[in-house]
Amino acid sequence: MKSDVKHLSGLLHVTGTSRFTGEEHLPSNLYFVGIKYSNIAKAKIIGIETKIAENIKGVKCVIIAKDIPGINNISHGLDIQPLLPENNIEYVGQPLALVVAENQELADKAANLIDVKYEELKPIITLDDAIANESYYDAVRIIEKGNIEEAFKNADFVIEDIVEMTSAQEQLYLETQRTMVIPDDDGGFTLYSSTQSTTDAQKMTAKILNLPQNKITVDVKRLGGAFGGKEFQAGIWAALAGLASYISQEPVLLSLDRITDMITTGKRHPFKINYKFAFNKNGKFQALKSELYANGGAFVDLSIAILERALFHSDHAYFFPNVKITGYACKTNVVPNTAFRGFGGPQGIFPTELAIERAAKILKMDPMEIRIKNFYTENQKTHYDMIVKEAVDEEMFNILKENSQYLQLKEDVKKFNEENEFIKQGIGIIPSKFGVSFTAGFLNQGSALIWIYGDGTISLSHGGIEMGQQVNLKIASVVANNLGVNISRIRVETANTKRVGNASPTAASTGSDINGNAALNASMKLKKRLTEAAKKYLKENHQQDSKIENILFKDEKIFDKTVPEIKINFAVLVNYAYMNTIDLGAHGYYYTEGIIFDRTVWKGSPFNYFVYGGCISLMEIDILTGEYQLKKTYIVHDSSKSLNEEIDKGQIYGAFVQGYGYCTMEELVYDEKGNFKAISPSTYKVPTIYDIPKTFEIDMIDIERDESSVLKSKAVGEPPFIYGLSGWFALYNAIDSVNQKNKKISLKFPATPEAVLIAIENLK
Amino acid sequence: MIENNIIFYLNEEKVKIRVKPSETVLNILHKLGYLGAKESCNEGDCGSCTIAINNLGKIGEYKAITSCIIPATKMHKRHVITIEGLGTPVDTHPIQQIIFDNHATQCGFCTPGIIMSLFSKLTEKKIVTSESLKKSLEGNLCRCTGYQHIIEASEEILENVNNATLNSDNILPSFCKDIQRKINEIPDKIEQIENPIDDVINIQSYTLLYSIDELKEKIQKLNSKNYKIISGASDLFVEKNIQKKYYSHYFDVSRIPEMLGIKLIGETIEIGASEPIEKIIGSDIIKTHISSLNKAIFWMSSRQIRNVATLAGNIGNASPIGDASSALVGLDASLLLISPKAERIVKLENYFQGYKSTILAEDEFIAKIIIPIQKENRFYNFIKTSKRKNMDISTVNSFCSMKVDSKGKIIDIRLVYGGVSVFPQLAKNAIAEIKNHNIYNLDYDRIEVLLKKDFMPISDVRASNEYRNLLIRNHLIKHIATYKMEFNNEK
Repeated sequence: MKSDVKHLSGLLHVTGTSRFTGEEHLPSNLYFVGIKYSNIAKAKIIGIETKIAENIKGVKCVIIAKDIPGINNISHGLDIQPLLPENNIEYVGQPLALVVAENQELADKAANLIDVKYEELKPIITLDDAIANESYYDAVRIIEKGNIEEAFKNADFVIEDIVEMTSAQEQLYLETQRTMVIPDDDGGFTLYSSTQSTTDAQKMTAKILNLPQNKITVDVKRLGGAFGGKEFQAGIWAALAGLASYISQEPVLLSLDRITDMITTGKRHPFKINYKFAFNKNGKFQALKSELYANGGAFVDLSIAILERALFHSDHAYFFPNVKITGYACKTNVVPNTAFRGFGGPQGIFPTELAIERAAKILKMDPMEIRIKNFYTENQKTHYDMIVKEAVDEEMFNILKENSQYLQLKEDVKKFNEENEFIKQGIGIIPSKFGVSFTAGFLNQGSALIWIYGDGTISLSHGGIEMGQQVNLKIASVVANNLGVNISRIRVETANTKRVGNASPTAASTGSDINGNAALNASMKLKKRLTEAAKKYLKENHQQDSKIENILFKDEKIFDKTVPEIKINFAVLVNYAYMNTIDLGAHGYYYTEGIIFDRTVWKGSPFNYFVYGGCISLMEIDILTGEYQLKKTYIVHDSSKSLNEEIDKGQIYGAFVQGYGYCTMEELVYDEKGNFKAISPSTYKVPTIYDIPKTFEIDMIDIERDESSVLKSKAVGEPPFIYGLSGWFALYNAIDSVNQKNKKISLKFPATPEAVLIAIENLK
Repeated sequence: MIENNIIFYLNEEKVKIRVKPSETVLNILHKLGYLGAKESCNEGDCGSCTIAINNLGKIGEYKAITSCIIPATKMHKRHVITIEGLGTPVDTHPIQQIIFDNHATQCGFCTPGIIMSLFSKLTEKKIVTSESLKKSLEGNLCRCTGYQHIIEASEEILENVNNATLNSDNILPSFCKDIQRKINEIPDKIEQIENPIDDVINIQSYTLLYSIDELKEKIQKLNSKNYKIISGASDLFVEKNIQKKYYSHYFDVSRIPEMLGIKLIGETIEIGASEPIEKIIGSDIIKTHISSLNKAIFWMSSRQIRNVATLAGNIGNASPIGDASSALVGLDASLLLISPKAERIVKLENYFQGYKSTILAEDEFIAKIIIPIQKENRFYNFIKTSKRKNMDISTVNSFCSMKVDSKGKIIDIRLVYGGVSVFPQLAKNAIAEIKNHNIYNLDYDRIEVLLKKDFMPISDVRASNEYRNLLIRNHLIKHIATYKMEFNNEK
């Protein structure tokens, strides 16, 4: 859909007038919350001494576990996660106590004076520790098809390896976690929260405060970035803020400073993967066997769903006749890991792509050709028996080859490497086939509420959260398109539990799909009523008999297409409808049909559709220092009928760069005590403007697909994250250019300059 | 505690406000209801809080700074422009409009900072290029856009500058016109108010100084030794924000005329201790006579930080890894140290004593950095290796200067490494080996052994010792390769 309308909040953003959580409607008697968190990974709590903190002038109160009036458990299930622990410390960064004080500095200072006495216990930090201790959440998950052992016996080649993706990745949303809470006069609370999930924040707070859900209102205007980090975990801070307000009976603002945020919030899961991969001389893949271990941290959080998505993406874009994928979610004593764009997908995909890259080297095949040879073709089945209806990766790769002038590029790189002693180039290739939907089927539901006011302006509420991805503009354009009006007529409201209840988190790339469809549903109801009103209006005012099916809504006018010279202004019709007692409000609802998955046999269709694409990147490395620069990136992306091409391009650029950071410079590891080694942007490095390639091209393939969602569009949030991994493979191949002895390249993930130089040294 | 009653211009408004010694520019902006500048990292690493402040002595020029780590008192007698001063949603500034038109804002949290960085760059009245616009954004992180739409917006800005639709008439908000004059009317001296209540932060005073004599007097009078002399404060206010490390008194020397400026005096260049690094980068004297120093400071931190940070700060905090320190040891720079009683000049090489320790006496301060100019027919080179190209601390840095005769014999070499020892140091053993050997015939295996004798790097969050050891060797190979390329000698 083409639209001239840009970012609905854009003019506010560029003038510094947009407001984020805690920046507006601040009451004059606002209190601030300080957090006392654990600096030890595992311990038994002997006592928490709060007296000194309490006695500081300006401190309203100190809150510990026993002050919680409700059920001290915020877990979705499988385990018990206390909001504040009473007996046991389980990770570094676990909130132990809160301070409510007159200002933030005071609250922080008082929090530091809380003395926690504990008896240190031996923690489990690494995946190896967890595996050795068989410390797992829930049952092992196994997805199987064919006869794996037979296939390994018969294949021409079998390779196996251990892949360590043991670095976490920090979301680094620029706006930290924050919630402001205002007590209501009836004992309820209104939470202004920076959350991707109004429902999680509402439920958790209600449970903690022992209040019915309807006493907790959650309101979200916009988020300064989230990337998954504010899906489940923003609820924790909302509930803590709710607790602080409940106990103090004051309005409070809980706003984390950057370092507290980095220490206390979950990241992308570190994974360890053992794979065994069989292929034949002709390059055809025969079998894939993988064991995936995810470091879930001290509480289960979303780890099971993340592990499952990794299992579902282990085949990536390729058909394997024989598969066995086994998954373990490990329980350790690190901060519970959580959602981050891709949600386990990248960890499922990377090892398989690495195995393919190795196979290509063994067979001396072009890494692009070997991939094309094994892409799913239409109506083949995945290892979990989902039919791949529209397999278009080959189509994508053919365009990619042309756009990047692949053969020429290969020649140029070869020549460059021959001519340069210390600088080498490499090409990295990766396709994408990313499943869209919540794999927890019930979450694939969306709601919307539309009011058309007497003056013809429109108020639109929907279940999605605006966090820069412009779900608001996309959904507004769906409604505007349906009603034939300008977007400027529509005000998209804050996400509020009172207007849209039971909203699913804005996550899994589904924000526009489920909420856009719900809004369309509401809009269609209104359009139907307005069409009938128009018929009556035309009869009354123009003595015209119109058939319902002939009445059109276009360019702010309503008319009978057989008598197009007589047009009713939208506002006039709305007012007429109101005067004729026609309901001008509508609730819309949608759920994604066909998502059926049987977890007893691990078969079914967990996704509504797949998003396809491909990416080629060219990297240059300095073989004396390991430093590198991305030079060129070409992306081909299957968008079906995009709701807004420029928004989607922005998502693709952004996701690519996050994925690129993930596999290169974003290194985040724990020390033996379970502390992150990097706790701020001064040591945790994300890409800057200098890290993006000079040539950065996206080709959006605008072909209507059957497998798509609202107005034939496809989701765009997560799939392009995978393209970023091309950077790692480009480095891998650049290193290979100095691999005279043809040794196995052991390049770490992420491939920091250090990892690159060490990999080069190891080839000597 | 002594609070400062400062007077400054905020966009078009004259502001008089009491500020605590510990407060930052960002704290005060938020207090005044200017919320466009955002707090995100609170240590100058993300650029979300970027604002513009007038460039001293240059009318109509503004520099971008990260307001989260700049002491609020520094706003006294200055003009501060925030995102709110550029335009409104119904009357946007051209840069704001271009960012909007190019979809270069997504979540919006970094956007005001990005715009203020671009704005400051354009006020400079220098030739703008794609590269210089990009460089102006090196200190701004964006986690949403992947920067591409921001690059496209800068291209449009460049086009508009080139065809003069963006020019001095519409880059500066109209209120800027009279403000220079109004600023001049503000007295230098700040009214200081004794406030017995120190609720949280234990800083007693923050003083803006205007002469070296005044500084000497302050130091002499003070009983407490718990003070710091600061200019940019870009390191000490990070310490304050993050590690909650406080000193009782801060003496701000950034306005002392004797401590500013870059002068060529015979065969040496004198750089005032308070001269911001960004100005050194822009200095023609430095470009002509010590271009290798530019190489070292060009990629130091970010533009916002370099706009306030100084070489003396880099030396003063005695970081083992300061890029400028390594280069300055390599260039055989000296320091003018002043105390209330005496002055002395010491070689930087002898200044560092151990980890974060120096020969600086308790009542002494750095007043000037004195650098011999580069000699002709001598090779100078600086290399920085870091995890990320820009806005990152070196894993290892090194400086090499060499005199090589026509036959390739290395007559003299100074080779300095940073990040591999407790302070930047000469590779003494390696130098002894390299000297008098032919540059085309160096025994790298033997040199590597000696380099390992010179330095025993540690492992830390940035790198392992193994990697640092490899870099020590490879930096030398790179220096030599660069020499060969530059001098294009035949074997």
